[in-house]
Amino acid sequence: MKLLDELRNVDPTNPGQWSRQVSVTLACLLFVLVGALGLQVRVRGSLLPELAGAGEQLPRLEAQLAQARREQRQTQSLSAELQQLAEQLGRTGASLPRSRTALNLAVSLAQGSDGSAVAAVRPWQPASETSRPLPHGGAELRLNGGYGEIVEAVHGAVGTAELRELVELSIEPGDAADDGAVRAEARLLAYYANEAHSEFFPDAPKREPAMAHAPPGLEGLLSPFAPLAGARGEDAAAAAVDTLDSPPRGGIILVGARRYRIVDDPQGGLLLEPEAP
Amino acid sequence: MGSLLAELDRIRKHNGAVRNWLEQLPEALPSESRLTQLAITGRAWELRGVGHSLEEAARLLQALRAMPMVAEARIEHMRSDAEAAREFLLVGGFKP
Repeated sequence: MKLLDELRNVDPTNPGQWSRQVSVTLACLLFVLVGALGLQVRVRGSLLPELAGAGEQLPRLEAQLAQARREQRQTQSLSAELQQLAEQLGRTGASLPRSRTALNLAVSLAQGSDGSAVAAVRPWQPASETSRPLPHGGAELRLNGGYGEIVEAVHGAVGTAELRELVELSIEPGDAADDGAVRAEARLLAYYANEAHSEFFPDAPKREPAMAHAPPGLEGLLSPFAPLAGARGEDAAAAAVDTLDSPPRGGIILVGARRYRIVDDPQGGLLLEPEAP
Repeated sequence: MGSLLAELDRIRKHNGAVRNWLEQLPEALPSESRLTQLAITGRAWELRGVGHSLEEAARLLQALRAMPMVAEARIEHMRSDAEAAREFLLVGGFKP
């Protein structure tokens, strides 16, 4: 109450007579007044326009937020779907090599076909290229042997964990028509992973499994090319013996007109040795 | 990746259909007939053969049509010769 009494009785014309308490109080009031005035100027001058601008941006930001939430939900849904597909893909047991040329494929097939009915392998490209979803290389197999051996060898070549498609197959009776042996040509495509798919597939084994995926038991398959009853003569047996020396089986690759034998490299790879003429 | 799975499924089905067809073919062939040429291009197949009578080709066609992997089969050509065996050409396709 003392301060209020002093303020009431203060002489504005004689600040020198003001008590210290009054001077400090008035100075504080003046400071608060000036501060409030400055704040008012700043709020009106810049903060209010900024607030108005922010208010205008708010609907747009809300729309962006909603869009981002939708995209996040879609991403989560796609991730779950991708995970599910990856699991399905894993269950198929398929593997795709990162890249492979037709020549590499032929070498690999020749390596794996040793001991089967495959007589020769060469790189091959389809004459009319249709659109295919994956990069691919082709190989042509020439086969000699019994009908069952041919079927087994062809499906041993395409029935690996790698993705291979039998595109063409032709089978005809062999030269010695009476013994039931046949000759065949098979053309297949092997697919490999593009960049988008490669992360889902493990690295394929470098070496061709030796036609191990063909189930056994087809050697005894009856040949639909066997001669008609009554057409088989005694010469048939002799012809069958002659064909034992027919073209060498397995481990051969034709590159252009040259024949190469596939041999093991001491360092674990593969070597192509030109066959002696 | 869905398209990759579909492609993988298509190729394995195709390979399996061809394999089963080749395995069942000898049993489907009448005993009095034999093939002279077999050709497969994509999903299409072609069988040339000879037999003692034209009925055998018809029986083979019937057996082929009964196979679950065969979508269609028809006689494209037949030739009957009084002295030689009858020639036939059957064509058809595998199911996609």
